[in-house]
Amino acid sequence: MKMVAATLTKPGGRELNEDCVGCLSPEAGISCWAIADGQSEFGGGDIIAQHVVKTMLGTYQANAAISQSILLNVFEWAQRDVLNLQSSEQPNHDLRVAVAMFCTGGRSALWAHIGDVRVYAFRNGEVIARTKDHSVSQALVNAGEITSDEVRGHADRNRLLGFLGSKGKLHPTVLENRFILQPGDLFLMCTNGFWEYVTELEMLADWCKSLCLEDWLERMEVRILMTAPERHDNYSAIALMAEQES
Amino acid sequence: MIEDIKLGNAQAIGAREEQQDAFGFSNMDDLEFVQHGGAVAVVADGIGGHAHGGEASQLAIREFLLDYMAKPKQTTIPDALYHALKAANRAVSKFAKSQRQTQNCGTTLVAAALHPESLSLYWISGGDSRLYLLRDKQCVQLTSDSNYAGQLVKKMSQGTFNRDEVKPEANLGALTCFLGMRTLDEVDRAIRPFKLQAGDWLVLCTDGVYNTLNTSEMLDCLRKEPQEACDKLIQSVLAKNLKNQDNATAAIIALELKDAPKAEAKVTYLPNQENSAMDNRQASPDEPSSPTQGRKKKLKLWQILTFAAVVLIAAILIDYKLF
Repeated sequence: MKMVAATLTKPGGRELNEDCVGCLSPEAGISCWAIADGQSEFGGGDIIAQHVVKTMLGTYQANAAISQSILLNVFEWAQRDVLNLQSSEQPNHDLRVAVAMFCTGGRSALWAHIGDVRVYAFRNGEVIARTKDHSVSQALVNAGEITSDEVRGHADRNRLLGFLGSKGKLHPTVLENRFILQPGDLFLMCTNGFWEYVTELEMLADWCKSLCLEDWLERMEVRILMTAPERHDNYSAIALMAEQES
Repeated sequence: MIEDIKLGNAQAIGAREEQQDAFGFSNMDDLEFVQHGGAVAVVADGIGGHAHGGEASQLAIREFLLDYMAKPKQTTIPDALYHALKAANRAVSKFAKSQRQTQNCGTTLVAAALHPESLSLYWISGGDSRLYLLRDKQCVQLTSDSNYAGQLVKKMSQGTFNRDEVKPEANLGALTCFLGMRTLDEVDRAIRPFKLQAGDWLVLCTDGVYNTLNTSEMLDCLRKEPQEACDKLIQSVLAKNLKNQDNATAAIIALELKDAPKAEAKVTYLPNQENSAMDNRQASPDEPSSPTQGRKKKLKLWQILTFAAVVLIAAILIDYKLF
């Protein structure tokens, strides 16, 4: 299976873009994408997000395989890297990075994330999978206090319970089983500045109107610009589609 | 008429002198056509302030439906919708020419085609009349308005325009695409099927509705039956009593699945919820009118059985003594 991709990353209403997207060029039939959203109280969120994406893709490339343990190792390495950076260069700075990785090879795909960067999977016009944020709002959803649709407007949606740079053991979520790809399967990896303004139904509606993945991202970006307040967050996304190799 | 579909419609003139909105539905009794063409709802809004707006919108609806209903079996729904939109545009342009109003006559048009068998939805729109999807208390706008605001936002996304550059006098709502134009460059249309679910409602309306009611107010109206919902939408618009209230029109296609279990049926057969289910249902001759009555019946049966057992034991004892 071949994957086609389109990417988007914009500062939104901010001066600095603390999001970063990246990909590995396909090697031995394996491809990988990463998207990160950095946060730092005293600046440098952009640098740390770029650093994390670069490090994660580099670490993955060294042992590229569609494997849960490899993805977990990549997250562990990135966590050590962020903590080292924090203690050596910016000891008083609170660095936080939410990140998602997606890798494919042959007919399989696997993804992992930590924080509130999301991965959506669409098939035949329906959402068939979505990552759950490591946030207070998602915890409330899990407890049955609010619905998943209410996360978007919830006050605690950005209070993260898991992120790179957190003290203690890291608990990224990796997909339990390999995802078996079908031609036409669609994926969207996006930061919170993106998904907060585009609902799942709107993602599906915009895909119905789109000629290609770039067109899809552009239509969703229009929704963000139409609805987001003036000083809105950075927004980034990677759109992927599985295609039968000729 | 297709069993799985319910329709609704309503409109009001508002504070205007004439009704320049129009709406229509395809023939849903023609089941052979529905099999390949689906069920279609169309709403049009004759451009306010322009000459012959009412005639333009009615003409557009008529031509659109005529052309769509002539769709050959092998033509896909999105292609047929586009063909019908172009036919309607030609008709409106020709009419404008005949009235010597080529620069001053036009209408918006939004159409939704629902294919009940595949549960697929397609739509097409020129202008700012809208199609909303109502699902699970979510009201999602499926169409994008073809107006100046949309053009500016696209420029913003391309990095060629800044939010601060919007001039105060800019008419952000000015249409950039409508029927009556020489070419339709900014048509908003679904080229892939949007998958519908049982219980989905498609709400088509003109700006006289959505400019007056916000999404939450619209949601409050979209309950019960589609016809009641349309009536409620228009009543709510009129209740605002706006000085310049535009014509307002709403049309709904509501989808119900034949095989989908009805809400009452679901509740009735859920274990441990008999009482609440009973409370919401009307009594029928075959069932107890209240859960208490049911309990009474069980109690009587228990009493009879106990009584019978006592009698039997007594009889055995008497027999035993006698022999």
